[in-house]
Amino acid sequence: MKAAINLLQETKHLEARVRRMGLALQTVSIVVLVAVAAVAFLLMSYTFLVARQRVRLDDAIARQKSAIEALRPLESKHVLVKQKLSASEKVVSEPSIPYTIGLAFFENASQQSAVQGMNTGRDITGVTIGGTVGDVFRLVSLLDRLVSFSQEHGALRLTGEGFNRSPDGEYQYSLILETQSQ
Amino acid sequence: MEIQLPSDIDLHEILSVRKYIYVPVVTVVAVVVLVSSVIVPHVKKVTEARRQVGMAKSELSLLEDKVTALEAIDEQAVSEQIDRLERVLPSDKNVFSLLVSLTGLAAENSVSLESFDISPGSIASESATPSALPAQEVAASRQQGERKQNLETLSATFTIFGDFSRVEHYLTQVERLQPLVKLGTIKLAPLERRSAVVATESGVPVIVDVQLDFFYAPLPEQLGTISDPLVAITETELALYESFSDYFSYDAQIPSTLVIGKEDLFSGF
Repeated sequence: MKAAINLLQETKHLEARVRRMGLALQTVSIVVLVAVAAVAFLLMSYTFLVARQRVRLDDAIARQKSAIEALRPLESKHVLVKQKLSASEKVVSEPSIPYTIGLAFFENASQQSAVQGMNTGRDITGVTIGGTVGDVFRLVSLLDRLVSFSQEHGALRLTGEGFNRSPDGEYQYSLILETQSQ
Repeated sequence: MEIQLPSDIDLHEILSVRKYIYVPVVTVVAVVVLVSSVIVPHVKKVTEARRQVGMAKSELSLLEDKVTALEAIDEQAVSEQIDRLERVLPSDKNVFSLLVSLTGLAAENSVSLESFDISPGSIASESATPSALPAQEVAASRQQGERKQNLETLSATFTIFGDFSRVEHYLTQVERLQPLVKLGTIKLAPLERRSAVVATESGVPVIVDVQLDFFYAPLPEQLGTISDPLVAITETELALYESFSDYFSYDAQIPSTLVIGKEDLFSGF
């Protein structure tokens, strides 16, 4: 008996399969190529659009700049007003020396003693006042009065800088009233 | 068993798939070329262009806002503001306006201005108006990023005397003067200690040595670039500006009857 195997069928089947895969590969390749080309085209178009938009914006900026240039004198006046107001605000907001309480302190002390002087200023911690009284009782009374005064006016501290008795029996005093700035 | 192959079968031809490889290979090459020479550079270009467009948009928005703000400014009102602010905070060392104000306030309060001392230095040169600084200095200060406040100070001292109540009123008013001043030091003493003036009925006569600071603001050195936004005036500053209407100012008045000399030296007055 003579047996035979026909491989032609299998060969044709393999050939068809290879052809299908090949066609698929070609199709996919073309699709990919078209897609990449489309992306490239869109990208180039977008670049062009963005560039045109940039040109339009540059034109608009130039127009606005020329408009501002025409209004430059008005701007300089506004800047001057702003500068003066800022500087004035700085001056006005700066705390004043405590002259109001110093004057009241002087007036109060003058009623019971011969005040020699009252000083206040930026480089002084508060108000200094000095004077003389005839005897120790008046000195004590004066100090009581001034302590009450300092408490009423919200002073931080009343400090006795010095008390001296002169040969003729008078008492000299020197006081510092520490205050918060006005 | 004997395997019988057909005589017309060409295995080499069956296994040859090269004809299907050409298109994919060309595609890969084309994609690589497109990506490297077109897509990547354009992506970079578009990214940069978008960044620039974004910046340009924000700049345009700022410029439009600035134009709108500038167009909304009332030029006449600004000129009036400048006039008033110039009296409050002069641009130069206007020492004479200070002297006139101090004298006027003294006259109004019936106190005597005994002495006045101020050293203004140069009053008509670059130091008097620092707006005339050389361009190099302006550029240098800009480079250093310095934001000058444009506020200068002159120190003045003067002595007043009068009744305590009037001196007190004078001192409380002096910081409400135009031009702006700030008291620095006050030394108050009874007048008897320094001269033989007799006390009046209305109060103890006192003498006060006063040191104060006089302020002036030189003109801005530079206006800034066109793109710089317009800094708006704040509510606080507007309120401050309104408060300046309560500040005193005195104008210098020369009496018409003032005798300033004789044309004929031999004639009597």
